[in-house]
Amino acid sequence: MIHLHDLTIKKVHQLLLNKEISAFDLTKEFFDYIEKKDKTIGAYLSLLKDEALRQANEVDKKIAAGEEIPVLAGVPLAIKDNILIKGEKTTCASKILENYQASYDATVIKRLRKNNAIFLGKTNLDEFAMGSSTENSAFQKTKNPLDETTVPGGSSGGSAAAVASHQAVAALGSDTGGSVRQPASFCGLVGLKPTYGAVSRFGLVAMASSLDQIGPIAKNVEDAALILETIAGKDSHDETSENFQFQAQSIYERKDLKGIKIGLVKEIESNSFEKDLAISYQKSLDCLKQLGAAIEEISIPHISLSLPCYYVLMPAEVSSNLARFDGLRYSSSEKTGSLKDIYFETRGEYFGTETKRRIILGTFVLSSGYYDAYYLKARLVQALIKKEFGEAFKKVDLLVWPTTPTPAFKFNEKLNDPLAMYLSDIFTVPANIAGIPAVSLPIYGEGQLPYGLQFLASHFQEVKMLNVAYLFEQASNYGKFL
Amino acid sequence: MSEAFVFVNFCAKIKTMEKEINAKTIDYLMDLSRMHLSEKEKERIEKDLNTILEYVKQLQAVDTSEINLDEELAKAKISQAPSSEEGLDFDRDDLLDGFYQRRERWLEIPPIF
Repeated sequence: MIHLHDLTIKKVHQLLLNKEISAFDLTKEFFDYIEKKDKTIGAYLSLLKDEALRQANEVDKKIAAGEEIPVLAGVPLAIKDNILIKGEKTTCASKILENYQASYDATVIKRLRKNNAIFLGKTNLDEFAMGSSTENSAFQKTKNPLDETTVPGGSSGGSAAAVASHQAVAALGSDTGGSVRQPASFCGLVGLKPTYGAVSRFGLVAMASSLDQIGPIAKNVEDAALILETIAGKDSHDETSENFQFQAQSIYERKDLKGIKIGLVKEIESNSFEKDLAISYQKSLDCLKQLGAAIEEISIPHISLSLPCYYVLMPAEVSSNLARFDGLRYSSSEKTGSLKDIYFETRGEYFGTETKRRIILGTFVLSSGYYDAYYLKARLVQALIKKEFGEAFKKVDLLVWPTTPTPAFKFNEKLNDPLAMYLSDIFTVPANIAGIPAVSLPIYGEGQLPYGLQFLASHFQEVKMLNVAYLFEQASNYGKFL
Repeated sequence: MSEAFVFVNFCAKIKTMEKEINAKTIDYLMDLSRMHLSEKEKERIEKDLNTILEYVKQLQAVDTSEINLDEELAKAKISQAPSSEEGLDFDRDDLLDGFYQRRERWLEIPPIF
């Protein structure tokens, strides 16, 4: 008897190799479960059943022929619906793309496909990945499987909810200001934002191109590392991608944290954390010390300006990137009249409130007379923050702080207050502004819902970061809520 | 840095702020963005943008005189053309089918005016 709840990538691999289940039967079992479970959770926007079963058949044929299969072969994954899968709908949870069919595979999809991973379906998100609760989806609400009265986080809320409710073994999300780590934290999962440039963005519908990065959401650090290994590396279709090679095996190199220096940023005042977070955070730091890490306080003087900086740079790029959605390209509008009429009417009717808000804000900060005061100033402050992070990583190996100030919040709690919603990204945005990798792991206080502990490292130091995260995960109370 | 700390300070400031965005600015931005907004949306966005801009204005107090963005840009890589072994695998018809209107291999657009 296979329990979907227990499955990790390596477990699936072993089950397939031992012929305890076929890839076809496993995939079918997932779809049967999704059919029942997703009526309540609402994680998926579309399912790819026929294609997934065909992919699974191919894996079974390879196993039957005695061929060696990659570790991801036959592993059922969920994909955020802003990542292109050829021939399938990619809506970005927006009415403006409701009928858009992707004409090519994103590079991450190509790489997963080459490794025979199975794509179960496309998951819900905040429209164009803009939001922190998945409430900005034009199509449906997604519930947090750990407490259905709360949001799953966002913008990759569908991906996190799919994994946390065992409707997928792992998932891909995208992280522009915390959209992988924050939902992972809200749903008790591991969320990894790789270094900017570590993973190709080709085929990811662009939101803020200088900040976007695709990353895995998984049940544990090992699964996140296995997915990173597969999707990372140079892609000639993304000029910002780097020749970054990552070996998942390397996360087991260290057996303890002796010689590792972990920095606590003094500007992030832990005495202002809510009580339950403060307790679980302190327990986590104690655990790191017990593992042998040296904890020391350091300063990143302008870190608190990461969020205001983000809320200038991100909308500026949004206003530019979303200009392409005009009613003519990427599926046509039914609007008629002059070209200008079609632009105005299509964009006015089919973009949601948050998307419009960010387009207008971005247009403002880029407009004549305001560019220097807002956009240019934010770029200068970003450079200053990056420099300060660089200085910090000369003193310590990693930085640590919580992923979010609160656990998952209730539906509608922040929906009508954009600034309050933006402030929920306060601890995740610095990694995007600096372009560095960060990983969120579940930690637990006395309440019902988990928090996240975030490790951050210097550019392309994923091995060190995930090695520490793996040891922490083994030593801490992982798995309490799953 | 805590959410509460930032928010309380911000609320104190916002009471005395001058509005950067007014109804006229919203009309201008709407035109620049080629996007229709209803009267209700305009009011809402005007209010929200003033709040957000007041929050991000703290950036203007930071001394960035020692930062040289040209140096930052110089570090950026030079573009590389796609390599031949990894060509794009678009199907021409797939791309054209997604367009507003097509006539055989040509794209048709509505009148500009």
